[in-house]
Amino acid sequence: MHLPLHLFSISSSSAQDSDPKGSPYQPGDVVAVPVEDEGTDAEEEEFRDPYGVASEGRRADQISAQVRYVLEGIVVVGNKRTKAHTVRKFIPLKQGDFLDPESPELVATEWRLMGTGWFDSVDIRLERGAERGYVVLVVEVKERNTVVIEQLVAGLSEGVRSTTDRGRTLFPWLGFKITETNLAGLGIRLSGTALLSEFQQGGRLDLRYPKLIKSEYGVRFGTFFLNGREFYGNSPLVSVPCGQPTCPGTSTVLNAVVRYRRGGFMIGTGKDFTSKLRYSLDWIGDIVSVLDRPEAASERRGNDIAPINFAIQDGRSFVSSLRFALIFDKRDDPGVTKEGVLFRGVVTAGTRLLGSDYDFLQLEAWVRRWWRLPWNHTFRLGAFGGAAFGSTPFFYLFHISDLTDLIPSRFLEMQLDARQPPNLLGTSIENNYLGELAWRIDIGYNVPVYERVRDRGLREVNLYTLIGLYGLADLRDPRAGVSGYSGLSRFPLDLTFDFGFRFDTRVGVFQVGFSTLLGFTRL
Amino acid sequence: MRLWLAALVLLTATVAYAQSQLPQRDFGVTWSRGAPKVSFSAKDLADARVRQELSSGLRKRLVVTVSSHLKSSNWQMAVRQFGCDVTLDLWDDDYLVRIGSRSERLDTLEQVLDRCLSVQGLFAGEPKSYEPQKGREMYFVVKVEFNPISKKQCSELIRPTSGNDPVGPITINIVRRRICRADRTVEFRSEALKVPE
Repeated sequence: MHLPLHLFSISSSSAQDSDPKGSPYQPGDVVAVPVEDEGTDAEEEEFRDPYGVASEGRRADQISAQVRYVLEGIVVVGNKRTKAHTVRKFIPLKQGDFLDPESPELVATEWRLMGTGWFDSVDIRLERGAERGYVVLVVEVKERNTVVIEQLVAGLSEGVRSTTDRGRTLFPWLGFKITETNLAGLGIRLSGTALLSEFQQGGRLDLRYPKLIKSEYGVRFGTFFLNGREFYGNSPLVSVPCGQPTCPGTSTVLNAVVRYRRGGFMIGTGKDFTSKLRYSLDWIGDIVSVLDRPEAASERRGNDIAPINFAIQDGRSFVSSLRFALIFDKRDDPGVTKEGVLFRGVVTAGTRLLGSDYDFLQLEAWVRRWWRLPWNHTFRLGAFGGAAFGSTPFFYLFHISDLTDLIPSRFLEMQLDARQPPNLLGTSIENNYLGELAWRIDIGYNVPVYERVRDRGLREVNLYTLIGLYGLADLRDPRAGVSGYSGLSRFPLDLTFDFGFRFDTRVGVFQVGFSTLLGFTRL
Repeated sequence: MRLWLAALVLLTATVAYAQSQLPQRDFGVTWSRGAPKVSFSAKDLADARVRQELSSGLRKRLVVTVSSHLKSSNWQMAVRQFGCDVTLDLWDDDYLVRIGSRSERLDTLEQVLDRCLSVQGLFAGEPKSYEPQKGREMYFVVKVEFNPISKKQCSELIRPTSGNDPVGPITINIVRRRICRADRTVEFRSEALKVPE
C-alpha cells in the first residue's frame, strides 16, 4: 500500500505535533534523543548509577521519542455492538499520520476508552504494515453490559391525597434512573427516570449525544410527564370550591393540596471548556395543568394570618425557560470523593418573550470542597445559595425538603413528603416550606472503616457524618418575615444533620443513613 | 492537640502494620561513601500479560521505587525512583529501552527485563539522608509498577463530562478501579540492617 505524499504534510501538524518541523527522516528511522544537560556538579556525579542520579529522588516521568512510523490504518476488533467509527473517534490519529509509539497520548487513549464504561478491557497494539516503516494500530476491545442503574432511591413518606383528607397517609415510594450508555453502539446515552408512589407518579426520558456538533458540542433532548401533588401550609384554613360532593366549605385541614399534571420537553447543548470546566444551555418547555386546588387558603404565620400563594396559575399554563449552567469539577472521584472542588452555578430565566406565562429569574450556586486528611479521613465544606425573582412557578421555587436531610428531598421535582422537618432551633422557619431565598452551609466528615483494592464486591465502607445550617425565606421579608418571634428566633433558619454508612461496591455507591429511616418516625 | 497526636500515632501504626505485611526478599546492599547501593530482582512482575504488553509495539513503562525506612518508627529516610520505558521496534525487531535520558537497544525481552527489573547498584538516596541515623536499624521497601497512571490523569479520566448529578454515574465507579491503578504491581521489603557508624 502506498499513501499519497500530501498525507504526510497533514500529519506532521496534527496529532504528532512534537515532530520536528520539516524533518527529513524516513519511516522507521531512529531519531536522536536530545541529550540533557547532565550538569557538572561534582556531588551529583558522585552518586550517579546506571539508573540516573540519586539526588533526583522521584523523577521517573521523562519521556522522549525515538522511533516514528506511518499509520497505515486503524483496525478495531472484538466490538460486537459498538461501531468501529465510534471507537476511532477516541484515537487522535488518522491514516497517514506519523505515529510515535512512545506518545503518552496513545497510552491515554486506552484509558479514555476504558473511561467510557463500554468495555471490560481495551488493548492497543501495533502490527507491521505492508511496507517497512508502516504500522497498523489494532484496538482490541471486550465489550461489557452498558445498561446501568444510575440512581435508585426508596423510602417512606407521609402525604395527603386531597385537601379534604383528615389524616396523613404513610406511603412507600420508589425512584430510579436507568441508562443505556452506548445506544446502538454509537455512544448515545439514553436514560429513563421514574418515580412511583401512591400520590406521585412521573417519568422522564433523556437522550444525550456527546460531541455531535463539530466534535465539540453535545446535544441533549428530554421529555417528561409528571402527575403530582404539591402540599402547602401548616394546618391551613381552606375554602374548597362548593358544588363538589366533598365540599366542606371552609375548614382547617392538614395541608392544602394542589393536584397537577406537568409535561414538557427539553433541548440543550453543552461543551467542555477544559477537562474541569464545562457549561450547558437548555431550553425547557413545561405545560402545567392544575387539576384540583382549594378555592382559597390561608395559614397562620406567627401572629398573622396570611393567604397561601400556590405559585401556579389556574387551569393550563405554559412555562418556557432557558437554563444556563456552569460546572467546575475538580473532584478526585465522583463516587466517593476524597479531595477536590465541585462548583455549580445555574441561571434559569422564564420570559413572555419565549412564550411563557411566567416571568421569572432563578439563580442558584453551590460549591463543595473536600480535603483528604493525613490520616485518610475526609473533611468537607459545602455552601449553597439561591434566589428566585418574579412570578416563579412552585417547582422552580426552593423547597425546604431540598435543604434539610430530615425529610425526603424532591425527586423529578416532585414533593415526596407533606411533613415539615423538626424545628430544632425553634425559629420562624416552622412557617416556611417554600421560598424565594434559600441558603445552606454544611460540614461533613467521612471515616473509611473498610477498604479493599479489588474489582468485585464491596470495596469501601465509609462512615459519614454531616451537620449543616440552612435558611428559607421570601424576598419581601428575608430577615424577620414572621411577626410573633423575637431575638434570634426571628431568623428563619434551622439545623440539619445526617450520619450513616456509604458503601462503594462494584455496582455503585449506596448510602444508608439516619435520614433513610426517618420515614418510619414521627417528626 | 491530643486528638491530633492520637491520629498521628494511629497513622504510624497503620503504616507500620502494612509494611510489616510485605514479603521479604534478598537484597544486596553495599555502602559507598555513606550512601547505600541496593541490588535486587523484581522480574516476577513480568507475568505473561506484562510480557505480551511489552511486545505491543507501544511504549510501556516500568517504574521502580525504592524507599528506606527506620525500623523503629517506619519513618521514611530517602526515596529513589526510576522509570524504564520499553518500546518494541516492529521493523528492527529489537527493544528500545530508555532509563532517564539514556537509551539503548536490546535484542530480547529477557534482556529488557534484566535491564529494568534486575536492579544492580542503585543508590537509594544520598548520604545526608543517612548521616543522622548512623547505627540505627533500617530496611528498604521496593514497589515496582507496570504502566502506572498518575493521580492527575486518573482524576481527569474518571470525571463525568456531562450530567448534573453530584454523585456520578455508576459506570464511573466501575472503571475508576480499573484505570486508576497500575496494570500490575509488586511490593516487597528487605531484612532489617544497620546504618553504618
